[in-house]
Amino acid sequence: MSKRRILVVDDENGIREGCRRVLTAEGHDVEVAEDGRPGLDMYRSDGYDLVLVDLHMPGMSGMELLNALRERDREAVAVVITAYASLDTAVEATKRGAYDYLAKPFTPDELAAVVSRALEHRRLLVEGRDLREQRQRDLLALAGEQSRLRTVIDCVSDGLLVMNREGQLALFNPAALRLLGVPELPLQAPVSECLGCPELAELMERALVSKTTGRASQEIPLNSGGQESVVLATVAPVADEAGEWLGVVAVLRDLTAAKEIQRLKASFVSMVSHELRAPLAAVRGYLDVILGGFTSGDPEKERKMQERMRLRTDALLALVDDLLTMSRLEQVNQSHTLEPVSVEDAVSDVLHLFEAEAEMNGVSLHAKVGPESLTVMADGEELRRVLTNLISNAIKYNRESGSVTVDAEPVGATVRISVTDTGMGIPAECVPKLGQEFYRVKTARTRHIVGTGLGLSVVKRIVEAHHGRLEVASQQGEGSTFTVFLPRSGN
Amino acid sequence: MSTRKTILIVDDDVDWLSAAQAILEAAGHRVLIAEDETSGMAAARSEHLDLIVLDLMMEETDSGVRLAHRLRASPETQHIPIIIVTGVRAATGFEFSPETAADYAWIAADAWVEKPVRPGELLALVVQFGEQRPVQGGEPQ
Repeated sequence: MSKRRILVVDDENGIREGCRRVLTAEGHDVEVAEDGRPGLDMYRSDGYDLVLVDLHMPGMSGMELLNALRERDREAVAVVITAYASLDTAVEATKRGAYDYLAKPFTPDELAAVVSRALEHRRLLVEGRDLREQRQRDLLALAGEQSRLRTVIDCVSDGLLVMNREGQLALFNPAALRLLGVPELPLQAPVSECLGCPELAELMERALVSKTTGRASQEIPLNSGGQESVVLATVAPVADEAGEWLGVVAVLRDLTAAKEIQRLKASFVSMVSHELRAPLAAVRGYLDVILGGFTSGDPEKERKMQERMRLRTDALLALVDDLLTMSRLEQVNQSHTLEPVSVEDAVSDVLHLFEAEAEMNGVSLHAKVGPESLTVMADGEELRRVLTNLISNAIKYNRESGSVTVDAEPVGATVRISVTDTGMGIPAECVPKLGQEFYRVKTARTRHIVGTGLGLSVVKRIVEAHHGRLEVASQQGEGSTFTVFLPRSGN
Repeated sequence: MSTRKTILIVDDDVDWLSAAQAILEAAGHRVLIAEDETSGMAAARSEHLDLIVLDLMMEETDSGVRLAHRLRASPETQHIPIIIVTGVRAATGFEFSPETAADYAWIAADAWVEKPVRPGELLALVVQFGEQRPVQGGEPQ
């Protein structure tokens, strides 16, 4: 047996040293104290496997020491040493928690035997305590583990539902409640009744019946509180280590946003293809007419058609440019080179480009730029694109001998640039739709004007990317004013 | 019966209108054009027509079908054959294309053609459909 630590507390030096000798010879580590008080102090600081206590000592009595030992260590083992005269007291002491007693005088063998039994008792007590503590620690760890697992499940953004093999709801997380659009779910209620979603319940029940480890997925439309959504439900049966089926786990992934993006993308592609096809089909139609000889050789008719073809191909080029600009604006982390740009330079550059077109349409161009030094913080190329699209519209949707006026002036920390035309104006109900991709006001007059339906949305996006804003004012039959506000540079 | 037909084309695409007009006129037909639903209806009522060619999408995405139904519902125009032409096709995400008689009854048209329509195809359609429809007994609903 390994070395055990024994404390002998007795006021008789003979007993102390006798015990030390015998027990050291037995291979134990023995220390001694003359009285209860120092004995208790030693026990408190070091701890012993066994204490031999004399009941009658001048200071702290053996009985007091026993009580104090038990208080400190519930597994403390003590053997009482006493004279025959106080055998009753010894019996009393064992009742109070002493393990055994030794009556003086005792032989070394008697001592060794009692000590050996007491140490064995101590070993069992300590082992029991360790096991209890271990179990306690395990339980705590398990509870902690469960609570951590619960936290993880609750934090998962996918909905989780677990159904037991009786078809009852066994577990769910907040995401499942959110996706199903319910404030709470009753545990242990039949899944077929409590989910409010027959498709999902059926999918889970089928997985339980199939009893194969395969997963099954299904897109399920949900309507939670008027909110339409789509989830991808993936179910898989769960088995224990012995292969016994325990139930089914369902994971619900919210596909609503992805579906919406898919839909928008499809609708955008569809619109773009339509807009690209229309001018090509028109050009092709004219080519069929001219090359097929359907103009009866009328040169005037042919020239008109060729002019229309040029107009439609120009519009197609403009559409491609607008699409490229849009795609550049869509890039995340696109690099804007914001620098002070002279408003007057930009306006006069762009107006210069439109001189020929304005003259052809019988429209006069005017510019009134505030102080000459007026500058905005902008990407120079994008500012020119904004002016180009606004001035192009102002010329196209103008009237014969109308005018286009570009005004620019500082307003607080911004620069206001407005483009005013004297055209047909925009019906009030159409104004909110301006800037939507491919939206064009459809009236008898606009039908003959070639446009892409992207010009204003490009303007809007560029202005917003500069933290500016676009305003539209229009009076039907009198004209429209498109105003952009851009951050002013310097002071 | 005369091979010279009077044909109304209703379309808001002015380029398709002038191309189709040139082709049909070169073949000796008389062509009327209208750029929207309202003037299309007015033209159909005031003229003796052999054929109407309608664009599907004008002011609204279904203007052509709506006009076709109005023409079929009116005693003066119910006998005129109708061809619907459309710039949208399945490839651009448009999912409708009539196949059965019920589909054609639903769009109230005799034919459905996707743009671009080649000159030969357009002229063949006039030959195929440019006869007045036999009027079925009873008033249309």
